[in-house]
Amino acid sequence: MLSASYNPRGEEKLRLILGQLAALRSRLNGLAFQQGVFVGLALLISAAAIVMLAAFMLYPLAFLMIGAATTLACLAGLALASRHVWRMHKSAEAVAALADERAGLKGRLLTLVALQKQTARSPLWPYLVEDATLRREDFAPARIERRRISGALYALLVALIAAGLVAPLANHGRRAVALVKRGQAPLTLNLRDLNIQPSDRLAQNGARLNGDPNTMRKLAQMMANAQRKEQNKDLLSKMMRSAHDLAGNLQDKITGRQSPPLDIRLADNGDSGSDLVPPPAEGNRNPPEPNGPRSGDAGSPQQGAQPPARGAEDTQPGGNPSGLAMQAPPNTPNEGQPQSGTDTHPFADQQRRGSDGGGASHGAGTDPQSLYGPPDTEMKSEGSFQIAIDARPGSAGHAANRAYPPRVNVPLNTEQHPDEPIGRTAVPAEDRSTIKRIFER
Amino acid sequence: MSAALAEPLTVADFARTFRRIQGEIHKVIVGHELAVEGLLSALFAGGHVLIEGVPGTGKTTLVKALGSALNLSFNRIQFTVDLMPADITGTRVILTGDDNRREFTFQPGPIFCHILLGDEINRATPKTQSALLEAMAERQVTVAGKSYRLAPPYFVMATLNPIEMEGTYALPEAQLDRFIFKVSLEFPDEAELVRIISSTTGPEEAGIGPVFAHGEAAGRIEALKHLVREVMVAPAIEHYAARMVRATQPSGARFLGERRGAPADDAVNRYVSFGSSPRGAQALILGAKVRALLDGRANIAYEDIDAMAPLALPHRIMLNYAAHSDAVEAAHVVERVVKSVRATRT
Repeated sequence: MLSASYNPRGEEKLRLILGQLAALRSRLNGLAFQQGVFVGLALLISAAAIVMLAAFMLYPLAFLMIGAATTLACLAGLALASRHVWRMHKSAEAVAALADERAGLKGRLLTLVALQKQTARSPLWPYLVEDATLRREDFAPARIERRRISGALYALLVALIAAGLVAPLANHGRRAVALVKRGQAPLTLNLRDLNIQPSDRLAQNGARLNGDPNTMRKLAQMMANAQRKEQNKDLLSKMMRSAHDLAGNLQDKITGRQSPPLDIRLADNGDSGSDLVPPPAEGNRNPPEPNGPRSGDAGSPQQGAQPPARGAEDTQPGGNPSGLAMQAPPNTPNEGQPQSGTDTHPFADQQRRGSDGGGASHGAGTDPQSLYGPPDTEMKSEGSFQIAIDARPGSAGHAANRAYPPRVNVPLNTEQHPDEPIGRTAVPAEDRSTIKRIFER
Repeated sequence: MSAALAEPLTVADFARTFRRIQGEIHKVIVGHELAVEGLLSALFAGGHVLIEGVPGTGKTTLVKALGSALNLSFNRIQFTVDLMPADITGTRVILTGDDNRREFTFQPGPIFCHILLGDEINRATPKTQSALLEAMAERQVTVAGKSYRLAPPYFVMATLNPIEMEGTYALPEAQLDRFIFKVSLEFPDEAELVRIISSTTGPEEAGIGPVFAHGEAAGRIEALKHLVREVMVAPAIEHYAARMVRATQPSGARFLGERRGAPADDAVNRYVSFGSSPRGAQALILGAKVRALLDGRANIAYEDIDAMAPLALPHRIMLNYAAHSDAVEAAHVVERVVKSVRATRT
């Protein structure tokens, strides 16, 4: 009684409507998929560019932090993008609701899609089908969603442009490293000058060590001592060292700075019996360079040409099975450097050259009258004086090295001699009670 | 069933009939367009309506106009504190038959009609009010253990006077819930007042022409009510209405049990002590169906639910003391609820 007359072509019209909605759904879901792919690629490319840039421009620990943060951000971004794409994925009903909203159809399509499978249909169903058929133009896919390509393509393009700007920098860096590698010459190091520290066993590039059996034996003993010292360090220091090594290795791989194993010839020119394990900051000893030789160091031109923060600190799986790394003072003599003819002591040599480390070497036992050489004839002003200081920031990864004093770059005069460490001697028996009383007080 | 009813009714028939009745009523009622539409929507949705307005805003005139336009029987009961249930339902009286035998015969009260106006229903005692309840819900009256059916369409319009509250008995929530909508007759603005003056103080009174012929009115209205029930609703929109009704309940409501949904709006938590009952959802859907037919559609849209919420929900919401002290009305809370639920559309 109440129903509008049923149209025999109603099912055909319904199929047309549903087909049009299916086309719209394909378009919308395609856009969602495109957005996922574009955003994902843009994130990956951006993250790679940032990591590459950080590898070339930052110190290892900074690189490690930036790299880790970038990786985490990239992963989080990928997860969010995936979630967003999943939510953008439309069911048939969601597409109908969207088309209703955009075409102002007030729930007609949503009702059609939701109730089409019902067997007991309302008498008003033909009216609804006819009504929706008349409005087919309103919900044509091109009218509901004009785009065929997702707007996320712009994000991908921006990421590609950013990567394109970083790529020349990377190539330039790699070429520079290759040039340095070609000019690398074998090194001769004095065993006493080495600051031996445990290093990452997984390090790829190390050094091939050779020397006379006596020197190698001493080296092994120094390594064992260093290993013991390392075991006594706290967990945080060990972790910091591991992080530093890891960051350095990664940085090397990314930048191509990974140099072939160095040929290092070890010599034992000093008094090996007194100090087999040179402590890093003991007495007036020159502190070891935390990041190895720097490019600005005078007196070591070959090492100075190497990239910063690397150098001899790398491990040597072949030549150094114990996983220890060596750090040479910045003025370590090598074959390519003029050696002192009379005094082969490294400290004497460096002071004679007046490159750096002078202030740190001066102290007890030096004639105070001529400590800094003859006075400067040119007075700057009344009551003033001039001291050149070569101060360097310590590496962030070596907490123990942060307290080193700056190097005072003052040349010694010809009558000055470098300081020698004071050897430990036994306290005379007659003085023991006095010393004990003083310290107990 | 008359020949006219044999013709199938269409969506267009409904809209045309609705607009004709509306037009006839507006011959005597100036303004109050939303109230008249709400009143007719309640009629075709098969519910009863509560009309609130200050004295003189045309409550009684509106109901009389509706009765005249529909060409249906119309009664008016002025509720007072001494009105007894039997006064409205009817009672058994002793009548003498043709054979001089006396017997108890049921004498129907004023409740037996198609359209009933209960004027100032809150002035009657709860006992009398409850007598009206059975008639509204069951569409029957029970007197002395015998039930009497009320002829369809049965439509109750009760008025509430929001002022002069002394000596009144506020309708309990259970009674308020039986009214599908509550419409408010606002005080007319100056232009409307001028039109009221000129149309009611002249020598001629506006006459209302009946939309239906005398014999077929009840049948036509019942058919139109049936057509309303045939309007289709997508499950997503049913869920939307259900979410809206649940959203009127504060988060801490005990009766929600483990079936709590999304956290309620701040206004609901702060000002509502008890939200809408499930009848609120039924009212939303039925009112939306009427609105869809008026718009020429055979289906409900989200917008229909939103539009019916201010009519169907406020009188079902119990506000707490905080709301009274802050002068917050239920309509304001419903507005917030609609806004918050609208954001959850699929």
